[in-house]
Amino acid sequence: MSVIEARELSKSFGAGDATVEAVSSLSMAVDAGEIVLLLGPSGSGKTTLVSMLGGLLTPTRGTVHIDGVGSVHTLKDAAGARLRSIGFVFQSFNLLPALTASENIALPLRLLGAPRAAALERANALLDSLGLSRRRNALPAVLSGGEKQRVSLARALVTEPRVLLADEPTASLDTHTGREAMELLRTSVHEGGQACVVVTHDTRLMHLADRIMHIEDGRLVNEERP
Amino acid sequence: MSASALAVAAMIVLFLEGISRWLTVSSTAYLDHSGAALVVSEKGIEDLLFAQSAFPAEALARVRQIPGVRAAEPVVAVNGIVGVANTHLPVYLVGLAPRAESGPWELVAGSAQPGGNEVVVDRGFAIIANVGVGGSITLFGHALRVAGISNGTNAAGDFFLFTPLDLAQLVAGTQTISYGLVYVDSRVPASRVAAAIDNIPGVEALPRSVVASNDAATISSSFGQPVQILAVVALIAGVLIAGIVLYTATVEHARDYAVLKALGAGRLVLYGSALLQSVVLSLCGVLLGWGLAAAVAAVINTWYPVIASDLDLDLVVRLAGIIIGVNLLAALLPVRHVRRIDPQEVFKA
Repeated sequence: MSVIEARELSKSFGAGDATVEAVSSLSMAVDAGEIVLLLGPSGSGKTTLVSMLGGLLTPTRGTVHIDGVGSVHTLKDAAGARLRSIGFVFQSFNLLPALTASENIALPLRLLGAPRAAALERANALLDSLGLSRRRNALPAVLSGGEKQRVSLARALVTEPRVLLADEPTASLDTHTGREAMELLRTSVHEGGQACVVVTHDTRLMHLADRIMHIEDGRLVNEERP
Repeated sequence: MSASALAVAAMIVLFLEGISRWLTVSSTAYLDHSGAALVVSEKGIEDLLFAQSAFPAEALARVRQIPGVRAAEPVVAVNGIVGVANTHLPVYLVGLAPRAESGPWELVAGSAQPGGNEVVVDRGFAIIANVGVGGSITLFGHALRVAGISNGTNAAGDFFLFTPLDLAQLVAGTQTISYGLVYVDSRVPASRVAAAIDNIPGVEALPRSVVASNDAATISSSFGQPVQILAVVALIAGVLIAGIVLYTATVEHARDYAVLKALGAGRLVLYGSALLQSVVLSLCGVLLGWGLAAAVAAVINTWYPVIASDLDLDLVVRLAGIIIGVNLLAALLPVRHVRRIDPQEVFKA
């Protein structure tokens, strides 16, 4: 059964003759432990699609279901639902600069109301598993790009979400570090059973995906398995 | 940086409010410390610092005869400007009877009981005039020896100097008395004594607190109000600075708020963070501003003791409350900004 399913998803911006349809009647489903790569040129609607899948953007038409539950953005506690169900990994990491690596990872748990000590314990366990034991108290400013992305991945996984959405997770990393980050993502998803959608330009990552969807002008133009 | 801007604004407000308070408190310090229940003056004169009262010494002798009067001390007051150390200072010369209760109350050095050609001068006056105990100074054409130096006797910029009664009368060129400080037996109502004094021709008696409040009101309207206006202007400027600083600080962290929004932080966390940031910045600003204001006040007190700023804890707490309250209002602007931040900002590289 699919963990996340989008049906006839569309998003338009502007009004009247100036209306631009960024995503047009796009349907997709991702299973548990599956990594789907969204490939497409700039402006093809990939990020708009991920924003709608993650409940950050309200679709003009269509629905997004997670584990059969109605669209995240229509839920009464949309923010809480997003916090519990979805993990995000961003191109520019988006770690909070005033928080240490451990505190950044513990943040979603703290937002869910977990006690500080328990949240930090869980965060440190994740850091250990990612080989960053010695960077627990480091601020983002002193972490390397690869370390930041690993911390970002840990933050996305700390609540054990059902869905993982990654936007250009390797774009700010060199080839070697990017490949390492992607392999780490794949291992985590396969072990954790998340449904994972990765937006990327990088065709070198194609072999790491379970499925590849090509998007152009907001439409799904091709789907393949590597 | 943000806290520094708030600190400067808080410093200016605190310092000016401190001056305003000092003007009021210091203007009544002499009467407050005298401990007298009533002040006798020439009929129609109801303040100490700004009017020249004069009545015959015999009137005070009659006051002493009134039942319930424990003591009635004569005071000869001379208001004037004296030239010292290449500058001119306003002084309030007080001539006192020997062993009077109403002399200087906080002695820094020397004696509080001047005799002969001696004078007790205010500490600030001594610093500016560059004299110490044993030194000599010419006041109103009389060469006087400094017997003591007192503290807290700068009444809103008017330096109190204490001399023997007869010396003050010599300076004033009259044998009259300016005021009488009346000490009343605790078993007798002061109002009854005041009513009896009012029957003596040419004089009247007012409660000390009334005369003090008249002095304070005059000081407040002539000097205090301009300072208050400056303080209000500084407060308004401070609020604008606070608003800009808090808004800028929030805008600088817009991406962090977008991250929190994207992760799923609720309104309570988002708005709470913006408000908490405002409170913390305001508190840091006020504490830093208090320190700066205290430092400026200390420097002035040491190097130019003509004015002072009373930064009492209650004043600081009250102003801190106002500043933080106003800053919280100013924080509504950044909260509004946070509400509008698009969580999709997180997707921008």
